[in-house]
Amino acid sequence: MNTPLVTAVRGPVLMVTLGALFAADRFGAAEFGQTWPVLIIIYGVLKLLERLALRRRLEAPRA
Amino acid sequence: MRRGSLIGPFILILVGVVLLINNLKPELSLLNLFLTYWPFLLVAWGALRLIEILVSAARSQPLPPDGITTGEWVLAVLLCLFAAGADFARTQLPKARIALHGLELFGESFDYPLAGSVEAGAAPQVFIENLRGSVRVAGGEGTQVKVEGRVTVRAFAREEADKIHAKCPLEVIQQGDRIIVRTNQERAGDSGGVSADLEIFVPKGASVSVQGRYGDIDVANIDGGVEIQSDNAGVRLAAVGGDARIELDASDIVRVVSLGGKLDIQGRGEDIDLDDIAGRVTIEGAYSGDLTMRKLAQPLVFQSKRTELRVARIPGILHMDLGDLTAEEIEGPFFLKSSSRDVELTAFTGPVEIHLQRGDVELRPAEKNPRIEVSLRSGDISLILPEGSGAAIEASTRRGEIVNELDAGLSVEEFGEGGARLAAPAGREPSIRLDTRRGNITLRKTTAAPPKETPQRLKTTSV
Repeated sequence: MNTPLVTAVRGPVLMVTLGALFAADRFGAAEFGQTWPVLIIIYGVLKLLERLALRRRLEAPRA
Repeated sequence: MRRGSLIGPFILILVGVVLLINNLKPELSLLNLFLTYWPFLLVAWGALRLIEILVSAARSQPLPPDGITTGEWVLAVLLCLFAAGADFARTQLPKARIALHGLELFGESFDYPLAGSVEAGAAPQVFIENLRGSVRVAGGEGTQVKVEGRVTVRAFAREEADKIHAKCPLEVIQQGDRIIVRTNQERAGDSGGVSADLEIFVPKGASVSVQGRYGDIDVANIDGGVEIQSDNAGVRLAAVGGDARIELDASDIVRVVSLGGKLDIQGRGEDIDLDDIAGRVTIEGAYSGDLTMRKLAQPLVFQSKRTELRVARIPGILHMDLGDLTAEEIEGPFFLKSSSRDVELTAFTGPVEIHLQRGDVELRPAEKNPRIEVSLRSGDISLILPEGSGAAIEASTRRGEIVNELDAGLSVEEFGEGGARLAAPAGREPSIRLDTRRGNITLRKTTAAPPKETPQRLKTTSV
């Protein structure tokens, strides 16, 4: 397994979020103009998880 | 290395299903369906990829370095742009739709006169079906329904045009007190370019129902009701005695002058212009142009994706576009909930309630002790009360200042993050509540001369 799951999953999760935000916009729940920072937050969280996963992988052989 | 993905077959299945629906149910507009539900394509796309990756991970297979490739992102962004663009075109440029009937660009047009009439009685129900072309209906003396006009056929040669024209004759049929006027353009099939402009004279007591796809519709001077259904039409009603119901997918204008009954408008369009409506007015849908309403004797209910507006009566005028709402001489209860809009109400009576995400509000009530409730996420509020008003006011801004030129006795205190608050006099229930999270509040009296004493200020915070 060369790619961590978190990395592989990032694209699809962002795609689903993007779709959900646009759907919320279309059906009047919240404007995309207001909700778009959610994308950045999710990207950040996924990046963070990726760091953690990579670190764990680096530390794993030593342990 | 990338294995074959599920996306390919999924897209094939989807395209197949879509085309099948298109063939079986041509009345469903695929473009409309797509424009309504396209965000779910993105969700489905992402979800499928996610499932793929989770399945691979569960089987301990190597994972792709990125779940969604650059190419796919480009496609997704194109999809968003296309949908946003088409949606814009659909709401802002309703005429763009005619470009879909591309056939009309070719060949020559051939005109044929059209006429028919039938005895109808004093108060018939007239049903008019004309897919393409304009329809004008006028009430008048007599008991006949009389149709005049012309059919235009686009074709490459006269014989071809004659053939197409013969396929779609005008029919004026009487069934009891129902009169049916049909131009039968659908019989011309896909050859497309047939349109008919009709002038229909009906007895004054008639009620009228018009169905079409493209073309303006005018109805004037009848005592009965009107029902209109079209994909794209400018609609003008004048001097109609009964109720009117208008359903449009697109329109450049809906103008109704002197309606005796209630009015229902549904769908999408640009401008709406109402004058002298005796019954209740309900407007639902998306309208991108100017809405002007004068002399509404009964309540108005307006509901769009981002705006809810209710007014009890509009003896004066109310004007609204995408950015502003101004009204003069209206009667409450007035209720407005909207995302972003500047509001200016002048000489109004009755309670007013306004909730906005963003926008400035200026209120000049006619009454000395009005009931007002305003809450904004961001925006300034100014309230100009008539001379001699002793209304109990409660006002607060979390960030901004309160300028009180009304009464030196009222004290302004600090509030929120650099904001200010003005509490109602002790022991009195406030009849005016003004609240903004971010913005200034100004309280004034209607005096022509500017106030002498310096206004009572608390703190100046740049907002």
